[in-house]
Amino acid sequence: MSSTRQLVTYGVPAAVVAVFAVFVFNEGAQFWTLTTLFPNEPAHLYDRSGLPQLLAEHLVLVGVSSVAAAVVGIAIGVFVTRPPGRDFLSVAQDLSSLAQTFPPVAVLALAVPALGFGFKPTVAALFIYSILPVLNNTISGMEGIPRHLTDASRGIGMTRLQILFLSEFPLAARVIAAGVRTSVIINVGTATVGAVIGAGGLGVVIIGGLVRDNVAFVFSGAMTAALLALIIDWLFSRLETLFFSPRARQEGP
Amino acid sequence: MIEFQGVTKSFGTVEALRGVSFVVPSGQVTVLIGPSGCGKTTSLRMINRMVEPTDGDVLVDGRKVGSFEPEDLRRGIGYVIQSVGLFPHMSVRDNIGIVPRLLKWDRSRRYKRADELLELVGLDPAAYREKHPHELSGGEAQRIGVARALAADPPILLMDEPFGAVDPLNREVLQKEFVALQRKLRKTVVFVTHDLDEAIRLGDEIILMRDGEIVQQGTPERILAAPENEFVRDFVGNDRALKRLACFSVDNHMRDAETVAESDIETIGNGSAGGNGHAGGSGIYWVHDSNRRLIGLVNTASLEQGASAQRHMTRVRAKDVSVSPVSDLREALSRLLGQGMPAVPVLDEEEQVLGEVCLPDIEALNQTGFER
Repeated sequence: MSSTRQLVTYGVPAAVVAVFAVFVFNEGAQFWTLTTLFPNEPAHLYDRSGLPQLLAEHLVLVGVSSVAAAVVGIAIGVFVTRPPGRDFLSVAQDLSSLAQTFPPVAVLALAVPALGFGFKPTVAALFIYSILPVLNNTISGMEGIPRHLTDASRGIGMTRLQILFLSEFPLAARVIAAGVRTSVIINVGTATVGAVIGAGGLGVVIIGGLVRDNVAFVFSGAMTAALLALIIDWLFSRLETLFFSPRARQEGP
Repeated sequence: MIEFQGVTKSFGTVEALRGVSFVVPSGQVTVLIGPSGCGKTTSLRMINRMVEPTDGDVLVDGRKVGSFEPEDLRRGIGYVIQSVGLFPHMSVRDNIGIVPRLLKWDRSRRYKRADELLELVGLDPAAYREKHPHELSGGEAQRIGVARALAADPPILLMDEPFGAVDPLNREVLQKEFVALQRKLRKTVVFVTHDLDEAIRLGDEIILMRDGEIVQQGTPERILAAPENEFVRDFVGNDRALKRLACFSVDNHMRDAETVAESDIETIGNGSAGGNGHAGGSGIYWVHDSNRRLIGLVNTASLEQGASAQRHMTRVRAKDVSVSPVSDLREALSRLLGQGMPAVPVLDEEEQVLGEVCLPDIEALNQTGFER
């Protein structure tokens, strides 16, 4: 690997992580950055709760909703590509794309009467919102497996479960993993909306800034969320190269 | 032994098989052949229950296949398909070991077996076991497909156009390897193809099908010699006499040849060379060097009394004029015509003359057994 490529693969992400960590966990550096960028704001550090606390809340929101979306999305995707569930294939695809056309704020508004304020409706909204990429990719991953491979799997005496776990999942894993990655990244951004109904997370600073007309607050929340998305995306790409090494890449007959 | 008893298969309103009955003898290669849609692949896939019959029974060793769990049945039957179907995410070794894995063999036994099978299909285990399918050529992939089918040593092998997607040159190599392998293993093989030459080359028995029915069943030689009706005649083609020659192997139809060492070559004219003083039926003396390797020939037909045999000797390159004992008579005839000689020598691997094949013998063979 050339040194420039190595710099791009490891150096840039390392720099992003460093900036992120220093900004979030070192109040002095945070204060310096914000006063330098926004000298005219009356306040620069959000006073109700610190960024580490909000970051933790944010991660819990994203984590719970993404894991749920991944599990449910993959399960539905597998079900509708089996013979017994095939009738539901188009319904599932329609419903999940419909769910994504709803703006997240609308989902929140609809969820509040049913689930109250705070954590639960936000997780529900994120969950519904992020199921689509997982489901879609699971379906296309499963449908993309060449027929002759399924035929061979059956012909050499695999049971249905063995076909699923020894043959289909490993073959579709790349595509499914890409779906999960997309859904998590979407969630990192969308979770900020949860602050509107008191779910906490990085959205709290952004909303607080908007309410008090303070750009420094908006900036610190937005930038933390953006860097977080970048870092998580990079982590996923590392995981993918780790699990799907070039040798095991799906090609050829 | 595999037996079909009045097997019918309908896909909706289409009848793929119409009451087919036949017996596949054990330890032999039975080829199902016919035009597309004749029901040959459907029949094959009924043996391992990939397709269930609408009516009738398929029996393996006297037991109805329907009485087995499909998975148990399939693990006991090797399955090779045209597209090979190797798993791209598994190494060659894991691909070969997949059926043993389903049968819960432990890892070291699976690995040992995979190496044995790589040897068997002519691939170096050290070079191939860690490779992945995308690193293989078509021919290599197909060899591994065969190795995978043989992994658990099943008595039955189902092969659905296994060499169909391989280029002609490699196909011939694979066919020859398969014949050699089958001589060793003596599996009960059901082989589907639409290539008549392949059927003749590989089959002990051929079942010719059309529109879901059997048109003729018999040895390749029998089908070519005595086509039962117009369809079979058309299917085997106008060159069936030529194709039939591929059914006969050279070692069964060669005769003794006269040989002479180069140092003794002048004895030919004296009538004291060789055993009886006459060349074998062809009138040709095959001349060898001190290592008994073929170097040339003397045709007594063009040798006048008292002339020097040395000066009449035609030097030849053994490889260009000869056939091997495992060649078929079609190849021998081609050599005969190509060289314009009355006989071709049959050589072993050391290029020593084992015998010769003469044109009149081939002609005589082709006249017997033919019915119009």
